[in-house]
Amino acid sequence: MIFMNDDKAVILSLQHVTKAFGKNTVLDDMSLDVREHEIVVLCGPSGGGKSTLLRTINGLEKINDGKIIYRGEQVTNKNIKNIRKHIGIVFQSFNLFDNLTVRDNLIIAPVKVLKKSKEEAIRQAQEFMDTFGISDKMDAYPHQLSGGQKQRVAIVRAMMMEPDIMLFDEPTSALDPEMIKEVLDAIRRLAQIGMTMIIVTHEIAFAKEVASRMLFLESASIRVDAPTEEFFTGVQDERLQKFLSVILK
Amino acid sequence: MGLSLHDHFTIFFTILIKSGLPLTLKLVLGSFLGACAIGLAGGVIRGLKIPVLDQILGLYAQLCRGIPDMLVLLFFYAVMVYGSTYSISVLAISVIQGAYMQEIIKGGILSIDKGQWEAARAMSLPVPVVLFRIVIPQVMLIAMPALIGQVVLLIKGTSVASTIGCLELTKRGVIAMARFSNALVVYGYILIIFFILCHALTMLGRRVERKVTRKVMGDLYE
Repeated sequence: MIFMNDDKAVILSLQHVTKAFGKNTVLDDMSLDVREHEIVVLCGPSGGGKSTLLRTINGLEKINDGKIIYRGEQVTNKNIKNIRKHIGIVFQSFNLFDNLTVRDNLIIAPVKVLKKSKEEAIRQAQEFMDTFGISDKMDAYPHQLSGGQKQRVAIVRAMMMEPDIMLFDEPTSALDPEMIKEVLDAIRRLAQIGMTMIIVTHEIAFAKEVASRMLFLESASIRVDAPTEEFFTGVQDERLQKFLSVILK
Repeated sequence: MGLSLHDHFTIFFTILIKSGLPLTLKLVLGSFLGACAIGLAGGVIRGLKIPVLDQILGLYAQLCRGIPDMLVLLFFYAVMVYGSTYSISVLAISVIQGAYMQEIIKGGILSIDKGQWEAARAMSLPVPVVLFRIVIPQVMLIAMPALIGQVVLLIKGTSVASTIGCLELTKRGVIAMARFSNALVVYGYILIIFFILCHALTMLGRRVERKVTRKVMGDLYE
């Protein structure tokens, strides 16, 4: 395989990762390297293991076999708590803390986990909120926000931990069409500042635009792993062609 | 048979309101605090499914739900060497009601969206922070109506203390019966007092519920 940025450091490496729920294998011997500043987009039919793969990376799902290596250190039960601090995740269903204001949603982890001062955390939160165009929502509760606003707050919440890699699990799937753009714009902004990201999405046009690499997952394995251009034009894979023809209609 | 106005006054004010009610209220307060402490601790342990303790507390809840309150009280009365009838009653009622509250709080914790835990876990928030800042406030919101209903049952349940001679409302009434032998009047007054207590609590409960909602979720929450 040829990558343009082979010289960049590998941040995250999945090696022969296997995961099963009972008898149902959802990740079958998957290997994947993610380098600094790369934007990797996972696509494929549902049930292909995209979300599970993402969730294993920060330990929300335990793996049955193989290993995950973060910056040269193998992820174990012991160090996962520490490693998670550097890996932000944004969920499909936002998962904002319902009983906390936006401000408290944003500062709770920096204050309790990173031991930042409250003032410092609030200042930083305000900055992010300005960047994402929702600075007037600091005192709102999640139920007072639109879906697009909730997801942007969720992105800010993850960014507040100063992650060096961000995971997105179908960030726009629960949104109305008119709100999808504002969330995608927020992700574009992260791409501009060089954030390393792994994104699971069905927004193929968006993927084509931001991804440096595309993965096609099907039946619990990575079927295609190619630089974005090649993925859309040069890969001879019957299943991928079929998937793309359906999704690009 | 006829009771004079003075007799009515003696029964209602001197015996029931002045002597009986204060002890009943003390019973309610004491066992409310006890039951809440047991219920919160037990409910959190069961909600988090902490092994062994979870099973033990499950058995405890089963036992308390399966045994008549009066028998639990008589059992405590028989085995406790120290303690007044009041303190034994508070203990027994706390243990009984704590079991119900534990199950309510456990149910509340289990009903909290898994995503809340996952988001917290993804940021490495310590479990106590997740519990006290995020989960328990949301549980309070969900479980409040059931908890208030349980407190009403607790108030009514304090009358069981009369069986071991604790001089609360019911026991005062039983004693007054020996003097006035008019069940309709004596028990009628007790009935009215209990009804007012419980009804007032239900009313108060609704206001508390609204307050809690506002406190937990901010204004404008439907």
